[in-house]
This record gives sequence, C-alpha cells and structure tokens, in this order.
Amino acid sequence: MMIMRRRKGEKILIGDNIVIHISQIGRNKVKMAIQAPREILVIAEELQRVSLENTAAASASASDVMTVLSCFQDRSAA
Amino acid sequence: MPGCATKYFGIREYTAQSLITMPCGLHGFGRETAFLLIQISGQEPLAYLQSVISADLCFMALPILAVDRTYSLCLDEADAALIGTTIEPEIGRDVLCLAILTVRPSAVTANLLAPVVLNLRTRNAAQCINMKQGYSHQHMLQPHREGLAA
Repeated sequence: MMIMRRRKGEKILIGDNIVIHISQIGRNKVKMAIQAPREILVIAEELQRVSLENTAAASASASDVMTVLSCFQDRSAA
Repeated sequence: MPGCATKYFGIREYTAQSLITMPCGLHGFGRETAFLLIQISGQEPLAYLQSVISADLCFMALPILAVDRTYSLCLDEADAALIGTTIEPEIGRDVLCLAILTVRPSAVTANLLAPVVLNLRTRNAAQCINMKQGYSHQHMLQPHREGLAA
C-alpha cells in the first residue's frame, strides 16, 4: 500500500485518466473531487457494503420469513 | 383501490397513503422508488417493505428501536434534505426508522448502519448511512437454533 501526503488543492493521479483533487480538509473529513472514466465505478466503501447487504436481504425466501418469525417466538417464550 | 403483486402475500390492495416514495431507491436497487409498508397482524414488530415496481422484491424489516433501544440517528445533510427532515429527527415522532433484516445460515442480522428512514408527514424515505455511531450493517439479532447446535 502506498501512503501519500497531500495538502488542500493538490492532486493525485492514478494511471492516465483518473485524477483525485483534494478540495477541502476538515477536522475529520476530506472532500475530494474525483475525475474518472464512466466505466470506472467510484463508490464509497460503506455504500458498497450496504449494496451487498441489500442484495443478500432481498434473496430471502418464504422459509426465511418463518425463521425470522420463530426468532420472535423464541424471544417471547424466553 | 389499486392492487400490488407481492412476494409473500399475493395481490394486496393499497391506498396512496400507504405508499412510500424513495426518490433514490435503496442502495443497489436504485430503480425501486416506490414501496408498500406491510404489517401483518400477529407478526409485529416485523414489517415488510414490498416494492411496487418489482413483485419479487420484498425486504423484511424491524423498527430500529426494537433492535436497539438506544439507537441514535444522525443523517447527513443531503439525506435529511431528500426526505425533508432535520439531521437528527426524533424516531417515532418525525420519522419511522427501519432496519432491514438478512437471514444468514447461522443467524438473522439487522442493518443498523443503513436504516430506511421515512418522513411520517410526507411519506418520503431514503436508506441513510448512519456513520456517527459506528453501527454495523450485520448486527446479530438472534442466533438460529441450528446455528447454535452446529
């Protein structure tokens, strides 16, 4: 992994056609402008995690519904 | 009254008031912009988010305070503007906040990182990332009996 120090207003180049511009630096946040070809997916890591989680949640079946309902029965019985 | 084909409940009639509009859809499901919130008598607090656009898309969800009584909601400004609320709305009074459930081989988990937040006044909703408290997208709800036995 490469570590690079940048100041506000400076840029990072990745390959020939990706540019990351450090536009604002706050106490806990960095604001970046990212220039990349349309075919390159640029996404915050947590959004990808949530997208994958939604896909897993959407694949539930009727038997999974019964599993969830049995959780509540277990809880109320406890 | 219009009807909606659902994943688990056949055709269900609904009124405009029971529709939820999600202008940006859910993460990974950007085209799904209209949902019905279905609650079945005897199954509370479980709720279902049924897509009006795709019959086979239905999420199980729980009110977030039923998962974590101390849950603290903090929205970013863009999400708050999207659904027309403040960045720290009061759950129950201003918004309904639902955690989507995932059934895994060994447990049921709830997504506390990205709840569905519904403005109770406008019926506009968004799946908001709540980064402030470090909540998990796979909060364990209840181990399955099979999982415990394994």
